[in-house]
Amino acid sequence: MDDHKLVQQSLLGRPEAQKLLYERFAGSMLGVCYRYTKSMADAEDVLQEGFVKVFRNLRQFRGDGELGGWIRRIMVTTAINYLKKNARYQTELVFENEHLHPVSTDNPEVSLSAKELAELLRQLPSGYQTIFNLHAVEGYTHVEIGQMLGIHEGTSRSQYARARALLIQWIKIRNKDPKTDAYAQTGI
Amino acid sequence: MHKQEFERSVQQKMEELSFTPSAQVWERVQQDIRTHDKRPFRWWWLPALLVIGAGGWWLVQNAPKPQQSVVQVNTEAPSQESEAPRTNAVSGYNQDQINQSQSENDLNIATTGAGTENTPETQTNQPLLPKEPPVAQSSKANGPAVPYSSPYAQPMDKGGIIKSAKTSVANGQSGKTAVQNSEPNTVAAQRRSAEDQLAETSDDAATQSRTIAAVPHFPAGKENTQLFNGTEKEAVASAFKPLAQSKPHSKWSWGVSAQYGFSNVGTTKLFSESAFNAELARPVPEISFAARPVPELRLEKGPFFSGGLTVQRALGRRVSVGSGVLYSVYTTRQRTGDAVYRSTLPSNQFVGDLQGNVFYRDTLNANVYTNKYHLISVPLSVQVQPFARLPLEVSAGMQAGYVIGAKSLHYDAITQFYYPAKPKMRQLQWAASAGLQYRVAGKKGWELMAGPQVSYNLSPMSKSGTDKRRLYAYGLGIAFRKK
Repeated sequence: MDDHKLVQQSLLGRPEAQKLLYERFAGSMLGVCYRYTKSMADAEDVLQEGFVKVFRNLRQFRGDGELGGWIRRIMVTTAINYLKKNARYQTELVFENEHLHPVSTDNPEVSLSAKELAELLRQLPSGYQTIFNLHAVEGYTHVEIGQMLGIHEGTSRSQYARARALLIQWIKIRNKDPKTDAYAQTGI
Repeated sequence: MHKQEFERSVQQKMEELSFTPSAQVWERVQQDIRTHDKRPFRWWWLPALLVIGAGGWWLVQNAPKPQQSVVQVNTEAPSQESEAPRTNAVSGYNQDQINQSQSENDLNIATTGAGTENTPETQTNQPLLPKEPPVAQSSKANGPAVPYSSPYAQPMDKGGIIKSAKTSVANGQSGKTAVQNSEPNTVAAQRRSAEDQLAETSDDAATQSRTIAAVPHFPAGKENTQLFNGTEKEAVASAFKPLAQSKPHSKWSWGVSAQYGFSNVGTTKLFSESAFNAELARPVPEISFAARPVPELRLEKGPFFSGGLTVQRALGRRVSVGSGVLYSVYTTRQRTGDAVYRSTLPSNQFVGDLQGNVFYRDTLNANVYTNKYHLISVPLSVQVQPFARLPLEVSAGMQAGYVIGAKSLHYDAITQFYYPAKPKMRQLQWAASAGLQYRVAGKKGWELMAGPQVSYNLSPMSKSGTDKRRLYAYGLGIAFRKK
């Protein structure tokens, strides 16, 4: 069953279609949620909240684009709202107006697996983690990130540069010694 | 290695990231969506229901009533003996027949007086009293039969109002009453019953009937020209005077109407459940462009105007239908970035396919562009005045609109510009409308109505089957009507 039919059947309230839709996207969407949170339990909370929004707003999916892209956008929005609401993340989400930090030209080879890279990403402070995810993975511009998070565009650029530099540093350490806790060595 | 290559390799790795969620997640999602699985309320059915309900109500009110048959009570000319005794004996008739005859005669008089078509029985001068009475045997056995005709009809010998009474007299019957003076209560009760029925069809007729009923009973022993004394005649004549002199109100009225307010586009639901829905209302580009997100569509309400000629026809005292021709302008406002002119763009900037010479960036909120949609529409509505003493009308109806022009912003994902162009709209737009109108001013022959109005297009704006956004408008409506 293609995505379009799956949406139609789900809109008719058929439980089997709804479950099929969930199963088709739940795995990859949990990966998205995982990148924005610090624990699997939080990621599952975001996933659940996100899928509830997906089913509630399924009528608004116009079918012009990919269903996966639409669901992913909902998950990202839900994750950001979750971070903003959750006290555990709020302290780390405080963004300061920093001066523009130049982005390093260092580009190490990323030989880590997806899960290893995600683990490194999750060790970043929440602010860095969110901005890196939004810019590097989702492709949002710093202006858009600024609008989404309510911060200045320059702050987004600066935080991204720091996050990127930190991540590259950890990747280099990991490349040398895969068993090392890279973030522990850098004192974050 | 370029900077973007690092991001791209990270992006590729992250795309591969996948986990299996625990079974509890689906259970909780399922629980939540079950409670929310009810179909959203289709609010636009309300005006349609109002129209159907008002139409049904009108049909019930104006349903043709069963024709009143004239009871044929006697054929024989009254004997001289019947004139003499003015006792209460009703020779040859039982009281039920008399009562029935009287009430039906009253009904005929009043109905005719209200201006309705005369039935063949009343229009022709055929004898009201046939030759063979239905209870002839018993009548004859008890004495001479006396025809009964309504005494109220006699003085109003004009305009076919009281043909039955005239007929009775013309047949040589001297109009002696068979109603016993000792039983006025029964007769009066029947008369009141008939009057109540009349009140449903015509207030004027009922008023006349009541006035006539106040006149004392048919005095026995008088000829038809002597039925009433001068005072009684005046009372009855004055009761009929307004009907004869009053000019009936025209059922048609015409006027002009205008509506000022705001318009916007909505999804299938009129109001967003939360701000989250606005996030989902982003435009989808025609060409997807890597992971570049589509900018958020910041549509805001814009001014709305509608005006035109209207015509109304009264279906009853408090129900009317209306139509007309309206011109409407719906607008929405969209925040955009800086304006860029085609002539100032660098030569390597590809904008060849874009229409127009001015484009808008999708980044900053530097400008506001107004999308405009022009429609000519023909409305069909029902107006109901729910309270007799309150000059307030509830209106509901449908509009068939035709898009005569439109210009709105479109997004091009390659150049990342907004550009103004004619949208691919459905030319025919059906809309539901509803509102309240209060008579703020008026004199005999004209009135000025004002009140809130709302309309919601049932047809989606776009020809695309997936884009379900619809135009809606709300505001203050003003209407001037002349009868």
